Amino acid sequence: MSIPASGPGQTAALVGVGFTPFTRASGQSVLALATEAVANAVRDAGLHLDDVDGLSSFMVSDDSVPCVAVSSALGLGPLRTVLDVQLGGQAPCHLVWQAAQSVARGDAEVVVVYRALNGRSGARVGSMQFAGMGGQYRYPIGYGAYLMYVGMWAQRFLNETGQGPDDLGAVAISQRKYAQDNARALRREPLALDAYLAEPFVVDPYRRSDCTVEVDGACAVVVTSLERARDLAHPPVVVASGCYRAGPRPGLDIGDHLLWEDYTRNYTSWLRDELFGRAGIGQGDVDVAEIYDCFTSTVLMGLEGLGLCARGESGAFVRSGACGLDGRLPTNTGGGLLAEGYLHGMNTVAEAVLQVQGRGGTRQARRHEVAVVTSGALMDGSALILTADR
Amino acid sequence: MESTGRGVVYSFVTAHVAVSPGYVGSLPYSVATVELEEGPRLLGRIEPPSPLAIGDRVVSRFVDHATWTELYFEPATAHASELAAHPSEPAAYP
Repeated sequence: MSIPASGPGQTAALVGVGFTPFTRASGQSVLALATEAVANAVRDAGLHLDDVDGLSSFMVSDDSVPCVAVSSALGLGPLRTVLDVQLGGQAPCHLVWQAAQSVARGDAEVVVVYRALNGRSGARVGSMQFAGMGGQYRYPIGYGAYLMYVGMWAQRFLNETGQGPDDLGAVAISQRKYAQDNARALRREPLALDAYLAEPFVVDPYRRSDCTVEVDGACAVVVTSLERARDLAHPPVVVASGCYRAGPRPGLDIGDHLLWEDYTRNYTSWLRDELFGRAGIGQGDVDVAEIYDCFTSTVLMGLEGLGLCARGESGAFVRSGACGLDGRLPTNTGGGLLAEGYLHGMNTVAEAVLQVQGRGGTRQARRHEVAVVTSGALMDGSALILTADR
Repeated sequence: MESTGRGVVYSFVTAHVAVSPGYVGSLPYSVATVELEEGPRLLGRIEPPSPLAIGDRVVSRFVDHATWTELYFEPATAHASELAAHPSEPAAYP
């Protein structure tokens, strides 16, 4: 595959992040959450709401609010670009890459990408039935929850790569360590392997600690030109490369995996070469990884799919401590979706921004010039390579 | 395509908690991706749900429910008459 040399790579940057608290019952409307996170991100960047001329977001089955609503509630000026997409966790990196392209083309100067939802007290995606044609074959037989679909892949992946419960558990344990230092995280109690293995199955092969924790909350990141970024509050995070990929026969909806050939390789295997090739960066150059982790297995599959680990070696890699703060590749440094909360990967991007900027506090990776981020678990998804301004 | 209804378990999950409507009254239950001898794959419950492993040989069965007919699978070694007589009934499906 030929990789386009031109494009937004190196010309757009992430400059700020914003959050609401992550809770089990926000007591607020999704619009209120969205506006709070967007305003916080803009302020964090050292920009003003008047500077924003683009918004971008995603939702699953109308669980969020459209960009125009956020613009109205915040009293923004004219929007020069918006993107409201019907996607779940596949979206965050994709939307950041689209925002970077908008900025590079001159369509907009400051684009805020957000995700807001009452994911715990409102509609819960984890057990949501998706509109579309695929569900009629799944729901009647009791195959109707997202963790069952990802679990179906995990079982095959573990079997084919010779990995098992200790490998899944290592991911949960490694990430829980980071969460202890993250005030936003909902799961902050330490986790040991024997306690993990003693947890009953929710859906075999997953125990409770293999699964993300659903939350109410919002998260936003700000994209602008690299040139403008250099004058703002924090060091620019260059959007060096981005890539979306749906592999062949991705199904009728996000739960329809029946026509997918190989349950042991997800979209990360399909976008890897383009992602790294466009950035001119090799796997060995990556300092920090933020891998989408609605369930533990997607971290293992992502590490292998991106080529950060050899096939079948991701579990041993995590068990060796390589993904910890003192390891070779600090991974999911905020505790991830598993411990921080299920903001569908928007917080995964935000954590990468904080790490590259050197704002990770007690969980800051020592080397943080290059980060890779992914969004999504199964047939389709997206990824970014973010770098310091070098 | 004609199918013998025979296949092997490509992968499976076993629900121990009611995370989906359907067979919540018969936990635990297993759903498998079954690769038929002819190549295509199908989703179906496995009766009985365990023990189950990837690569297990299974055979398809049909059972009529009130408003629909279910395709499910059972171990190829089982006594079909014994198992098919008592398939689990799903909870009311909307």
